[in-house]
Amino acid sequence: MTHIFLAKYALNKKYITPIDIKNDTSTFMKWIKFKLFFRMNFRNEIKSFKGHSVLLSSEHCFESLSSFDEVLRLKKLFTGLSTEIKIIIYVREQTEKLCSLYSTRMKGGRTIKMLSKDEFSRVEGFDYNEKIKVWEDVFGIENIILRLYDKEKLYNNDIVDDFCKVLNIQRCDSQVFLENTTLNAKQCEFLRLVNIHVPSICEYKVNSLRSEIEKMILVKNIESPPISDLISSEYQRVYEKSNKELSKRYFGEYKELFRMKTLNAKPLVQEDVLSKKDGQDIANQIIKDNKDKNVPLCKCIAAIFDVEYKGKKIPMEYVHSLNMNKSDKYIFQKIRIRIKSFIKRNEKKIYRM
Amino acid sequence: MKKNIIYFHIGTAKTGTTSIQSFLANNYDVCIIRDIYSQNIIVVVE
Repeated sequence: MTHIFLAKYALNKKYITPIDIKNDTSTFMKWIKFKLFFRMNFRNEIKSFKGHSVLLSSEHCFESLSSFDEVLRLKKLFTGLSTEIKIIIYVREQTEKLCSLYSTRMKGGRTIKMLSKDEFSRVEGFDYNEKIKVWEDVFGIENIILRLYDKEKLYNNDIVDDFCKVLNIQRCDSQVFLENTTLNAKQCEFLRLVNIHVPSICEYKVNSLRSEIEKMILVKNIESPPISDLISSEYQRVYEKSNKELSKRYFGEYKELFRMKTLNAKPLVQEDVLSKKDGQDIANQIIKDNKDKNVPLCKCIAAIFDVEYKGKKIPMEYVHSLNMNKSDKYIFQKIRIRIKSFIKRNEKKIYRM
Repeated sequence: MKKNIIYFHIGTAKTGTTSIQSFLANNYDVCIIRDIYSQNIIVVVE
């Protein structure tokens, strides 16, 4: 589930999404209209509800809002609606989060390579200490509930059980929720090479062809090192001090906030993870599974990884002829403008994943 | 009606947010779920 509207409401700068472009809500007046309309409806909805407590869930608020003004705007949205506001934040060790996020980005159609240590040190939102301080300044540290996302530390080793415990809700189901699958290093690299030529969004819609390729990759049993082999143990020291400060404020001791997994001293070179032959083997398997079911998919894969489809080589022109880049370029152009203004505002080089 | 508490779960990303939201959405009998512009507002009614 993707919830962006609360964050969108509170952001200083206009946040342009593909949905805005599709719905033509990208003009300034329409933006103002959205803000007024959202505020009114949001508050009316909460007011009209007769229960005693309200729970909102939106990770975009943490990821997207970075300044005091923005978080304060969010707080003002709740003015007079309740006697107390409690902010629940789960944090995950940054290198683990990086690996999981990198896999998500590949599934989302991005083409970036694994971050260098320097880029990792500048990722927006990874310095929890700095970011949570803003929320403390606005809502008060006494209203922040900080939890560690570490299976061994979660109540019953389960995120849902832990969340219910925080809220003091009795859990009466025994459902197990499937976690998002994290790709391994070879799957990531294969998908990254696909993403370069086959965009995830086409004509403001999800590109079904690329989604099919992604599904194929997810179910394939490909032997590979994990994504964490693309980073080194040095990465784990980047946020060490900052995490300790957070630990001191919330758990009373200046010590490691997270348990660290063992990482290699030297990372693998990303280009070497998937050799040309590896890529071609995976491509041939996908083509074999889909031979007559999905011809464009097979042809795309054959062209990108330079293998044959029904005994013939497929030129890259075939992929280009599908003309899949048109709207995507426009969207990214718009997003680049937003990122540029964001960086300028903060006067600090920030890396957004 | 003024509420006692507003709980605001803000993630962070990659910390099981999807599981938490799926659990809340699936437990309609303990939660009332409202949709405002695709923004799920989950109201707990214990």
